[in-house]
Order: sequence, then C-alpha cells, then structure tokens
Amino acid sequence: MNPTLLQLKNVGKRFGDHVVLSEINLEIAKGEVVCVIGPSGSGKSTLLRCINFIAPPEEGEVIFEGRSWKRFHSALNFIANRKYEAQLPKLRAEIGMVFQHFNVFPHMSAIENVMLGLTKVRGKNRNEAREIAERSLRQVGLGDKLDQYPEKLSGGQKQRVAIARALALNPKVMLFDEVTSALDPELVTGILDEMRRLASDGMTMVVVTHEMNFAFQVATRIVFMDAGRIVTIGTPDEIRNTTEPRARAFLSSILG
Amino acid sequence: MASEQPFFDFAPIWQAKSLLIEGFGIAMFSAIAGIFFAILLGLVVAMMRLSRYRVLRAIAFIYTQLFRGVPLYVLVLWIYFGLVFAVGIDIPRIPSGIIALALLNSGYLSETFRSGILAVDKGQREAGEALGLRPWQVNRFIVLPQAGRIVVPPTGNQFVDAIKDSAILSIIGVPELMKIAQEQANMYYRPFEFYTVAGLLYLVAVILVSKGISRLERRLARFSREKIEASSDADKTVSEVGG
Amino acid sequence: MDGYQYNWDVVWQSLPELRQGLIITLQVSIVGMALAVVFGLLCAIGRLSQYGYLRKISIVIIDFSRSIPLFVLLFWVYYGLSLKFSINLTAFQAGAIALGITGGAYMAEVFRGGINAVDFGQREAALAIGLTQAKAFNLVVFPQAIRIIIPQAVNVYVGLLKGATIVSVIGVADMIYVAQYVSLNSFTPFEMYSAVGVAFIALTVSIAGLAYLLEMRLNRGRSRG
Ligand SMILES: Nc1ncnc2c1ncn2[C@@H]1O[C@H](COP(=O)(O)OP(=O)(O)OP(=O)(O)O)[C@@H](O)[C@H]1O
Ligand SMILES: [Mg+2]
Repeated sequence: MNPTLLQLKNVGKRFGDHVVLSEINLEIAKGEVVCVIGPSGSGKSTLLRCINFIAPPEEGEVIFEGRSWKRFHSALNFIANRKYEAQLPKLRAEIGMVFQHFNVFPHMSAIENVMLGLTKVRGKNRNEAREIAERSLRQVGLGDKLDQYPEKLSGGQKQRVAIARALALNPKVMLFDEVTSALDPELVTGILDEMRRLASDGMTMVVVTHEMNFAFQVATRIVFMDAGRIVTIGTPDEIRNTTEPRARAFLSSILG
Repeated sequence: MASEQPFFDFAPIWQAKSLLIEGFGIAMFSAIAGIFFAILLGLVVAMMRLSRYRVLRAIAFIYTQLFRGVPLYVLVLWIYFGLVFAVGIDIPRIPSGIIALALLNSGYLSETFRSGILAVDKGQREAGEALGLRPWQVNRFIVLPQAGRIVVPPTGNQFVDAIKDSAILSIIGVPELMKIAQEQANMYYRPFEFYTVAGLLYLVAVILVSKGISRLERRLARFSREKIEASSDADKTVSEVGG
Repeated sequence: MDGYQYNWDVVWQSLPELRQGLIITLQVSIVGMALAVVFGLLCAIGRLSQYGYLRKISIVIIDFSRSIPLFVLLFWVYYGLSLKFSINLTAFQAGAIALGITGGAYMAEVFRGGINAVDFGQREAALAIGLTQAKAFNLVVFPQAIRIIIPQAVNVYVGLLKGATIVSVIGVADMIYVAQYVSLNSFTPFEMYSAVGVAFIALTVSIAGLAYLLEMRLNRGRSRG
C-alpha cells in the first residue's frame, strides 16, 4: 500500500444549525481513486469542499502530506485563525478541483483561465505560464481553442478548460464534483475518458459521481454516504455485493 | 455669554413640537397625494406605451423621458412661478407641490407598470383568450392582477422617494416639515438640532413605510404560492375524475 | 390673461451665465459622485464582510444615508454641522458632501448587487486554484461585477446630477441660481425655468443614452470576452 496522502479525521460541518457532515473519517493513499456516491443532499459536495477548506469544517482536521489543517473555534484564537487562513492558498494550490457547473472564468480566454493560477499562485512569468497552459490544454484536446472565450465553448469544452486549469498547477490530488452531470449525454464519455486517463497516470482522485459504471471500473474504493455520514466504504466488488440496507436501496434505485 | 449656552439644546424642539408634527403631516399628505395621482397617471401612460397606435406610444414615450429627466426642483419652480406668469393660472403652494410630485413620479411609475405588464407570461394571456375571454377581460382578470404583484415593491420604493422628495417643496413655501425646520432653526438659532430632528423624522417615516412594503411583498408572495398549490390540486382532481 | 408676451431673448442673453451655472452643477455632481463611489465601496465591503458587527454597522449607515432627504442632509451639513463644530465649509463643499452621502448609500447597493450577481462558483473556483481572498476578488469576481456596476452607477450619477440642482438654495451659483436671479429682474420665470428644464432633460437623456451604449458594448465585450 502506498503512503497516505490525505486523511480526514472526525470531520464535521454545519451550516447554522443544520448538520451537514458528521464524524467523517477517511484515509486516502497516494494514487488511489476514491469515488463518493450517495443520495442528493447527503453531503458529498460538502465533503469535497471541506478537503480544500472552501467550506471549512467546524470539527476535526484534514491532514495533507503529514500537515494538519484545522480551524480553531474560539474567538480567542482570532489571530491563529487569521494565520491559518493566510496559509490556505498553499493547501489549495496542491489540490485541484473541478466543479459540476465548470466555473470557468467568463472574462478570460481558455488559455488565460489556465494561466491565472500559474502566474498569480505559482509566480511563473507569462511566457513560462503560457507554455505550460498550452501543453495542459493540448492534453485535454483543446489545442485549437486556446484563445476562445468560454461563451463560445460547449459544456464539454468548458469542463476540459476547467480540468486543464486544475492540472496545470500540478496538483497532488484532484477533486471532481459531479463533473458530468451538467453535460449533454453525448459529451459525458469524453470527460470520463479524460478522468480514466488521469487515473491510469497515477493521479490521486476523489470523485463524486452518479456514473456507477465509471465508479465500478476506475475506483480503488467507493464511499457510500447518507445524511452527512459515511455509511460504508469498500472496494467496488464489496460495494456491489454490500448487505448494508441503505446502500443496497440506493444502488438498486440507480442501477435499476 | 457663550458659556451659558448649552452646546446641544433640544428644548426649542419641544417647544416647536406641534408645528413640527403639523409639518410632518403636510409632508406625508403631499407624498401620499402625489403618489396617488402618479399611480393613476402612470397607469394611463403605461397603457399608452403598450397601445397599438404609434402616436399614443410616441406621446407616452416623450412624457416619460420628460418627467424622468427633469429635476424636481426645476419642475416645482416652473409650476409655481413659471405658469402664473406665462399662462396666468395661479396654483396655490400645496397643490403645486403635489402636481410636481405626481408628474415626476408618474414618469417612473409608467415604466414600472409597463415592465410589470410585460413580465406576465405570454402564456397567461393566451390561456385567457383560449377560454374565450374578451381582451379587456383578459387584462382585467388575468394580466393586471399578476402584474400588480410584480409592481408592488418598485411602487413602494417610489413612494419612499416621494416622501424624501417632499422636502424640496419647502422652496415654494409649502409649510411641510423641512420648511418648519428652517423657520424654527432660524428663530432659535439652533440649525443643528432642528435639522437633525427633521432628518430623524423623515428617517422614521421612510423606514416604517419600507417595512410595511416588505411585509406586503411577503404576504403577496405567500398568497400567490397558495394559489398555485390550490390550482395544481384542482388539476389533480380533474385528471383523477377524467381517469 | 391678457396675452402674455413670451420673452425668450432673456434666455439667449443669459446663456453665458447659464452655461457657467451648468458647469458648476456638473462640478458639484462629479465631486459628489467621487465621494459616493468611495463611501459606497467602503459600505459595500462592510456589508459583505464575514464579521457580523461590520455588516450590521454598514446596514445602519446605508439605511440612514438613504432614508434622509438630500435636501435635509444639505442643510444639516451646511448650517447644522459646520456651525456647530465650526468647520468652515463652502456651499460647494457642503453640496458635494451631501450628494456623496446620499449617492454613497445607493452606490453601496449597486456594488453589493454587482458583486452578488457574480456566480458564487466563480469565487470558489478562484480560491480552489490557490488564489488568496483578495486576488480572487480582484482578478475574478470584480472584473465580472463591474459590467453590472457601471450602467447602474451611471443611473446613480444621473440622480445626483438632478439632485445637485438644490445646492442653489444654499447659494451655489448654479444654473437655477442664475435662472432665479435673472427672472427676478426680468419677470420671466417661465422662460428661464423652461430653459433650465430643457437643458436638464437633454443632459440626462443623453447620459442615459450613453449608458445604454456602454452597456451594449460591455455585453458585446462579454461575448468577445
Ligand atoms: N452554503 C450552504 N448553506 C446552507 N446549507 C448548505 C450549503 N451548502 C450545502 N448545504 C446543505 O448541505 C446539505 C448537503 O449538501 P451537498 O451539496 O453537500 O449535498 P450533495 O450530496 O452534494 O447533493 P447533490 O447530489 O444534490 O449534489 C444539503 O442539505 C444542503 O442543503
Ligand atoms: Mg453535490
């Protein structure tokens, strides 16, 4: 087994009084592909957002490459929290994220979208950034769309830009949040193939998805969540044959 | 001598309180009357803008441009001082102020009403026509009630503006709150105190009216949701009966 | 009604003074707008802050500034504040400050609306690639918000321009001041105020037209990027 890259320890998250995640424990080794499945509203997206602290968890900690990240919850720790918040961009730069609704920046061309992180986060000069961005966009098959603005791109192309934007920073782990659910059916396979390629290149990935075929084929482990908790974790085979009633019910509802 | 004078002295306010309250009443009356006539005028102009006759549309368009472009201050002076000289109609102060407020706000409201009417889904009109309703019935029973709900918040905001604008009527001597405050401030030589209190009175009026509007808005929203639910229930019953 | 003799010559004769007055109106309104932008931006930042007390304070400031009539603010600043605290404000300065306070409240809402109109996912995506909060705002959120903000800011400016007419009551020699002065001597308020009205309508209509063109351009710019 590879060494652990990312660990969630007792992570909990609420919005106001609404508890969205509780007691999340998960250990992810380098090179693993963990797929997260579960009913709508079970907290899958929130789980991903906790990993890179876009939605900072109130409870528990996230350990990334041996370093612990957590937020202090007393007002007395105001200064400590400011310091930790100032460090967050460093963590996020090592973690790529791709969203359901692409979130490409509409006021920038494809290549500018990719270059932004390279110049402003990695501090590369424009020429260097341009070169890397171009390579990144070519890899996802957009070599001929470098200077297009997002409005002129299809959903699938936008999602490729978003993937290239994340990959260009050379992240150690990639988070995918239902990245094919907003796509027209004929565009889904292309994006899934892109993810397969990444997985076989050894990228560590956490993938929230409803594409069960993809999950069963590519995942090293599958996490089933319900009501803000991890109900069961297992290899694809274990999940396929699970006896856990909620997981069974969920699987039969989407596999038909 | 100066040391005997307190730095802040709100006692004169108390002495002038009945005058101030009366002025406040006149300010509110002017704003309410102004907005009332503005709504009537605005409706007419909105209908003209949606008319099928080009002339009416053009007149209505110019009307809105005129009264949205002219500053209230100029309009008030023009009506009160200008018209007497040129046309010989001598309109007293308060009516002059109300006319100015009505004209100015009608320019904005006609645009509000027009877009409210246009915002009602076209399918609603078609559905009404499909039932065999006449055009005026479609307007009266289907389009206007829905548009009404849309225009409540912007009309409320216009009313709030009218309350604030009414302070300008003091320049033609309408004895509203601001005029009283000016007179009393000069009499007691306490401008800071009087203008502060005048400002706070306007503030209270504006905040109360705004609160009232958002409450009304919420009630209308609830009402429309209930109606939609009720009608979908009705649909179900019909289809069950049919099936 | 014994056949009023219109005397439009007076208008033509006082054209230079009227123009001078118009320039002063424009100056007051532009300085007021500049103050409004700064004040509005500060309030909007407070309003969108993550700290509850800052949000509350900003809301109170915005509500106050928006609810008190410009006319009252003007008198309060010019006669009230400056006398009470012996700050020697000129009528021009008092006018600009009053306009800045009123306009600032509106600008705060314009800024806030523009920033909120940008999809929340944009900020998240910017943070996710490791940008700091400040860079995410400056490089990703604000450039998108500004397209929404500019046309509305022009509308606020038109409002301030019209509002600026009242500074003549505290003795700023603007267009209305000139019109009042001239018509007192020549008994031609109708002509003078008509002229001023027409000038303002022309001005506001053309600014609104420019704003419209600008908006179209910004939107076209959007499809080009
Ligand atoms: N910003 C927020 N504020 C308040 N509640 C939120 C917020 N984000 C998510 N929630 C709530 O948290 C719960 C979990 O949301 P989440 O988006 O993580 O679910 P999900 O499993 O990703 O669902 P889906 O499959 O529909 O995407 C939901 O009940 C949602 O309403
Ligand atoms: Mg989700």
